[in-house]
Amino acid sequence: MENSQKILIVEDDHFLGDLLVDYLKKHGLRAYLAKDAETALKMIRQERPLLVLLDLLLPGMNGLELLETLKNEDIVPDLPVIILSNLSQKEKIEQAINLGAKDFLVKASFDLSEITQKVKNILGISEEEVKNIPEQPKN
Amino acid sequence: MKNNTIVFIGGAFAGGIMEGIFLWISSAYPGEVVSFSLFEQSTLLLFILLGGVASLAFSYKKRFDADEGVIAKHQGDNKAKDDLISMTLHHIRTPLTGMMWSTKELSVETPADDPQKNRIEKLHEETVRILATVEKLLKTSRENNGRSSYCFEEYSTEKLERLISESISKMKPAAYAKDISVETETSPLSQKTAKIDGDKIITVVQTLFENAIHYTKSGGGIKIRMEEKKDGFLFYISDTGIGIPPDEQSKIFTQFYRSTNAKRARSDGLGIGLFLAKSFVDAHGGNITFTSSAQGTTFIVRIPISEPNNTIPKQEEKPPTDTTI
Repeated sequence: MENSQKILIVEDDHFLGDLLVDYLKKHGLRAYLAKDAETALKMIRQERPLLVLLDLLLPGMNGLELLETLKNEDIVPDLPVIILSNLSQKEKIEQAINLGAKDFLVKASFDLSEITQKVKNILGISEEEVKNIPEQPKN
Repeated sequence: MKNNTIVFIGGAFAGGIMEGIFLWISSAYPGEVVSFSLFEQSTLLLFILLGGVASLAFSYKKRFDADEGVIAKHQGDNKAKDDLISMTLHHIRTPLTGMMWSTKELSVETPADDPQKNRIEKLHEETVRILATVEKLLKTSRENNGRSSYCFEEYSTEKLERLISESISKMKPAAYAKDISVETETSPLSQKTAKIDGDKIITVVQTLFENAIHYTKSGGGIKIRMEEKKDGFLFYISDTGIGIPPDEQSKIFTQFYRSTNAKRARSDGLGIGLFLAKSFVDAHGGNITFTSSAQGTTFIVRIPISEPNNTIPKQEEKPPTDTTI
């Protein structure tokens, strides 16, 4: 299956990353993992996924820096990004939303089914919008 | 005292020896018994005294320097300890989140008639509880390190009342589950405003309400009251709980302190809820007080208010750091 039909999960913790991939798969959504922001950026530039679940605390480039890069390259907000982080400070949330993230979920406050529902909701909205926009050539 | 006496005598002895040598050298007849004039006796006494005082002063300076060194080392050690604690808690939080997710799914997937169902549910509940504890400890660590970041906005008294009421509503089911009644009373509010960090106030309300539930027996009651007075917005929370023993009341806002009643009611508390609540209320320029007896406890939180657009003394906002854990 091409990555354009999958969710990209950017998460450096193996345990959490695998849990997310398995759960999404069990509920009809294919997903693949990137362990750091640089790898995620390469993957996104190569082939845009359906949606990105983005952790903030990552080795090397952090999640907000990745989000800013994607915004500067006009990839976001077309590409929906949901922040999934254990950071919960208001200023982080505001920063992420200002950079074009569709939502900010604090990991410890949501379970897997709630996260999956959020993903499905956002994809549902995106699909509707995409139907009405004339086809744009991909870079 | 004993130490100081020894030091003084030692110094005095040394002073006396020095003067004796001086006099012996200055006398023209080293071999003879020297008889001292009154003047010479006085200088001898003076040197003895000076010797003693100098020795004492020197000893004090040494001790002072040593103390300063110890204090500086302690402060450095405390910061290192706090950093280590933050780092550890953050690293624990990640796998705990995974465990919370997994145990939830296990619980959902286990049929109701499975004999393991209860055990799995309990496992999940305990994981959620540990995670909540880790969050509290992290907040305390941030507070201790001066790394709590505050985000103040202007709230009307009406908005503040709504914020508190909504927090209470979310927690009412927990009270009802323990068969504790909850009553809320509000009074008319003016157009005045307050500088509020919403998340911090929610934490304060949650802490006080959770305490009220924990320390009140089944069948008891919690009363919430909000009113506006000239100098502030007041939030009262009264319970019919076990109260705080009088000789322990002065300590309850101390970090990690737990009263004997608290320990009896709940062996697993951390003693940081009230410490954090007080820190947060203080940061708003307000204060938190209480009255307590064996029939129950009432906490009163006061937040300063003023006319809209008036300058409330600027609350110091601690700058957020990029990699705040």
